[in-house]
Amino acid sequence: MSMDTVKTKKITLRTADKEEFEVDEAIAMEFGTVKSFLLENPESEDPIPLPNVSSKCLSTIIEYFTSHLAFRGSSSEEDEAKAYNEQFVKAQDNESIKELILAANYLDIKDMLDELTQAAADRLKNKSVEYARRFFGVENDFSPEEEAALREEHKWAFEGVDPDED
Amino acid sequence: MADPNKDIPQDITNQILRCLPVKSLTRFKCVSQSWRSVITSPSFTRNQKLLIPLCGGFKSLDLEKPFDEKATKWIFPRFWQNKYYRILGSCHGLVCLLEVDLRYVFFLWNPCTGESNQLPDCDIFPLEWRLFNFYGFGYDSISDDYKILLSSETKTVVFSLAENLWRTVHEGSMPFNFTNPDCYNDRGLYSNGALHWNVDLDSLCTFDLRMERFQSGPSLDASMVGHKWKLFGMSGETLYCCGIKEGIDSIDVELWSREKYCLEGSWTKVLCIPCSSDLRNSLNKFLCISRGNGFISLTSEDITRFDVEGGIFQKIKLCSSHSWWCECHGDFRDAHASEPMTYVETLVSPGRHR
Repeated sequence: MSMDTVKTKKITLRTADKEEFEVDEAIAMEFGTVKSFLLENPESEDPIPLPNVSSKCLSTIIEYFTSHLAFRGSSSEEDEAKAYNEQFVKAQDNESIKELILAANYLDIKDMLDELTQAAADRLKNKSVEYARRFFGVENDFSPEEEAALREEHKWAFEGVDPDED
Repeated sequence: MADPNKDIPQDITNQILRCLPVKSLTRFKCVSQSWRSVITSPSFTRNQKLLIPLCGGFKSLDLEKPFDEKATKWIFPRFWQNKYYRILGSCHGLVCLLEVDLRYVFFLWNPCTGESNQLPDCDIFPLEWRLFNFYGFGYDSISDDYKILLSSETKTVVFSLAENLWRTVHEGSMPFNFTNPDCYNDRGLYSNGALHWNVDLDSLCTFDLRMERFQSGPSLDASMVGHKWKLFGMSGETLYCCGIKEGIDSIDVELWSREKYCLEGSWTKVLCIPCSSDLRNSLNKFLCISRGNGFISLTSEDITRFDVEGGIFQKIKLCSSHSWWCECHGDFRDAHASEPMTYVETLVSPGRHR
């Protein structure tokens, strides 16, 4: 009986900026949208287009999963994953966190999205109202009187807030 | 400017907001009008808790966590004095309290944010507490109004938060004959715009908060007829009814729910589990349904959660009563009137809607 070497199937993904990434099927299957696509088109050899994800973002996500898949099955998987996630999140600036959130949402990666939304919340926790507006790109549509009244009503919530860095 | 491709969609923003502590959320009400609306909405809920009125204050217990001696926390509304408080009801995270002393004072309180609102006194009702048999607190979505109901042998009155006044809605007693002590409950259960009570073990009645009148029903599902049913605490806007079905060679506990406004919609069977003696003994004391199909039961010894696991109930003790049970002696402080109440954490404001 011949012993064929098991070839890890590779999937090609094409990002918004037309870069192509070849990834192990195991990683590609972590992305809900890709998984659905592959289940419906199992024979397709064409690169899968991801028009809403940049190459920078995708390479970060691939790196995240490559590390996570390496932990899988190990006895200290949970601790290792937790430590990795902490470092991973720390290394991202606000813009990257936002981009990753949008990508994880588009690619339908629930666990990663949950990690990222918690990370975004942790960043916002002690910040000012202006910081939150900038982070989310939200316009202030209160009149100056309305805003002043709200701030007065909830004075206690404004105590001990971190000053804005920039 | 807001860029739809680069900005986070609202549902993800809401997911991020849910991870924030109450202090940050309160501050972020100022971010924009839509943020304020999302944060103070009744559907922006957090954990489900149990509020226990005691002589020394209130305690709250997180119903979604496992057993922990230190799980109960003392909480005090700003208006709290060393008086007797009765919980009239809770809805959308707001708790309606009656402070009983020489004067009767009504309050709305959000235990999660700490905000409270003292309501106008009720002059039109003979307020000797033993005289009002039925009461409740709930929300009328049609007029976007929170209402309190008080009903005695002679009169029924309603308080409207939007109008900030008390009104007599019915002369004479509630038009139902409550003769069965096994299912008697003075506090109406709020669900979908109405307050509900058991008239007997096989029939219910409601007070419609929009029409401000009593009606019988909703009637039980055909397969529920002939057995004993009791209304139990709700989770969100869903009404639950639980009972024991005694078959020829088995006894089952069944749980049914109802989602829509009381006279529309129908009952759906949620659970059917063989009844253990543990459960049977606790059936009369069920407080509420916890999220994830469990029952919370309160007895004089402990607060227990029965979770459904693999078709059987698993008993999980949440907290032992003697760590908080208050022995009140004499006068009007009897245990029945200090009944705990579940509430869900929200940032809904107890003040008048602007």
